[in-house]
Amino acid sequence: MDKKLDRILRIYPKEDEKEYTLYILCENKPGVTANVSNVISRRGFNITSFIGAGTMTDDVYKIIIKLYATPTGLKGIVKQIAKLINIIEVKNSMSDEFVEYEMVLVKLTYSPDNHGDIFQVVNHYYGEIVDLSDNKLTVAFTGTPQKLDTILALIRHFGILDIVKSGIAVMRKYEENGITGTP
Amino acid sequence: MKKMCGADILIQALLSEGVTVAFGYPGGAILPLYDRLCNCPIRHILVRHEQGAAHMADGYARASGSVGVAIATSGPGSTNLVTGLATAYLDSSPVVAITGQVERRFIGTDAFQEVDIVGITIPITKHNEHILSAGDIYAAVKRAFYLARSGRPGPVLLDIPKDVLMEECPFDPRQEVAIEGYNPITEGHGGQIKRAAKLLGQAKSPVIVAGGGVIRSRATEELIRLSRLLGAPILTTLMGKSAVPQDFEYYLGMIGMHGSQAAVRTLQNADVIAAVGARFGDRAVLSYKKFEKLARFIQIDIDPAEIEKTVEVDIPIVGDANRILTEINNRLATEEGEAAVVPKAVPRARPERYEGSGPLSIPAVVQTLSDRGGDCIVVTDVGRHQIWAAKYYSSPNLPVGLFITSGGLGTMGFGLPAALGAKLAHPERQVVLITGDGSFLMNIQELATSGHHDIPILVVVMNDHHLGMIRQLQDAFYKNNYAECTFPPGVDYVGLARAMGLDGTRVTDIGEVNDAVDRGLSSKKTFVIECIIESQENIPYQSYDE
Repeated sequence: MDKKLDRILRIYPKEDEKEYTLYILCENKPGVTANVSNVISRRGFNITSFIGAGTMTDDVYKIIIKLYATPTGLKGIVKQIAKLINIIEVKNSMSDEFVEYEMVLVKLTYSPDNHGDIFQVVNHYYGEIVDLSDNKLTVAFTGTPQKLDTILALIRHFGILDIVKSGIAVMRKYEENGITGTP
Repeated sequence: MKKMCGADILIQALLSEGVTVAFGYPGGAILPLYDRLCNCPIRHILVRHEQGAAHMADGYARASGSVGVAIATSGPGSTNLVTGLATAYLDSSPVVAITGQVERRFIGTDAFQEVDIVGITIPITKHNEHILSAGDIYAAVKRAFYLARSGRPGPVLLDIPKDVLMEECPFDPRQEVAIEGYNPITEGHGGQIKRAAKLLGQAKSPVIVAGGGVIRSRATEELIRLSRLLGAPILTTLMGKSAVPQDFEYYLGMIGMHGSQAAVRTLQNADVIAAVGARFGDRAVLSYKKFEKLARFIQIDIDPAEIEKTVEVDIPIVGDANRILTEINNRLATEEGEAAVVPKAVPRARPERYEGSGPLSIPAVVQTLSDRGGDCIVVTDVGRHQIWAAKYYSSPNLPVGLFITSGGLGTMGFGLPAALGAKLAHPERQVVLITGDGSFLMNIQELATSGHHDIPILVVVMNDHHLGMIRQLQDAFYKNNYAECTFPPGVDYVGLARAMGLDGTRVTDIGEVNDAVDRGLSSKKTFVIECIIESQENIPYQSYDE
């Protein structure tokens, strides 16, 4: 049985998964996001970040997905997504070709004792206090995913009550966006 | 502007697409459409199960080349279409399914007969749409037909709430159908075509593998021209079975797990393999590891997602097979091209023949049918009989593209409704359904449809009292443990046919087959020939090992 399974798995070469980013431009129709995520999930790959929002053009919607996949698997995913009727364009790239930005909201336990420590981190990383009640403090940080990881490591010991991440917004660094519909 | 209700707009859209036949089953949510359908020139075939409607539309589409239409109500009506849509999807058959849905105000409330059919059919349709206003119906239907038949054909589902069908709105037929993200590539890439022609011309033993794409793009003529120009044998996949005339001198049979030995050996001796509209399915390839090492590959496919899906190829060409083959041929036919072609011996085509004797067996019956040399449309179900039919049915008059079978999904129960659909597409031709006792019973209710709508076909049931393919697998991989694969004798298929107002006869000896078929073909009603099969002969497996 193991031999058989091995044979089946060998249809696709054995490869390590890498992180990729997909830019997708699509018509703003119901069900588009379901169609796209379905193509990825049926192959057993996991999405790490999925954001979708309108563009400067009405009816055109942009989806940015970060996912871990094998190179061969990703090739298939890109072709299958491009094949979906409401999809206008799909591009994939490795992470060094674009800037990534993310926002995180963190709710911390707050007391006058740790006021100074917390505000040192908040001020240093240009955090914004968005809510403050008796013993809870909510701060917004923005930055690259790596920067946000550092911040979270620094404030962890203050007692994190909740975290919400915005998902990663991505833009190409060099050429024009390469995607129509975004003037 | 004239006001019309949604149902009337839908019918106008269907008529403008040239629909003459629709297959369906009414229900609460789709009744507004049926209320109007009876007054229009579309012939509605009332099936006995919605799965039958989907397969009939599929069979009609495959036989006619135009879009088949299936209609069902919401909830169970729509879920019964699912298997048929998946079958059409895997075999790239143009079908438009129209389902009723509960009224808009009830959507999402788990109302009576409500199901999210658009969500369910995402992975098995080329496209699907939920129509939320009567004003959108016309454009949506035009879009659905365009999507179903263009590029790589496939099924499209439109889900229309009941109150949208009843809603009145101004009707303007001059609506443009534009789909921004959909531009199927038909023209092949010039550079790739040039490289492919060069590679083929220089090959010592090129081989052409034709798949269902050749039939969909009607590329038979160009395929034959290419084969003659190169002196290259043509092999087919199961879906490409009738892509070339069975007596074509370069045709060497079917590749794959149950293909012909000649075909598999030809593949092994090839140095260039040109796959045309074939997707290197697992059953056709046998072993991806060994297959990839066989030769250099050229892959011609209209669907970019098929390129290198499973097998790495040297020259991929995306586009319509007919156009690409024409260009390759034109290139090879120039003086320069001809000079470059390496001369080869003409392969001697010998269609496989079944020579076995002994008790009545499926291949013997198929061979007898084939030897009659008729020009019938042949439809099969799924199982051992299907493969025997694909192997040994080689009547030289088998019309191109009219060996109809469920290759991709392997849907048992496909045959009978598909055969009825094919007959409606070609009323002037005889249709022979080769089926097994297992498959036949899966959609047997459509015999009543055949009687009701007067759609006569010839059914040949291979009654071996077994699920043959299951038994074969149990023979090969489960140490002859025949678990749950036998049907005890006792079902009288001829009696069943008679009970449905049709006719039939039973055959127990190979000598009686021809007379029975003569009787069946001259019958004005659907005729069921029940062949009592004694032999449990298995289909030989092919492999790349000598």
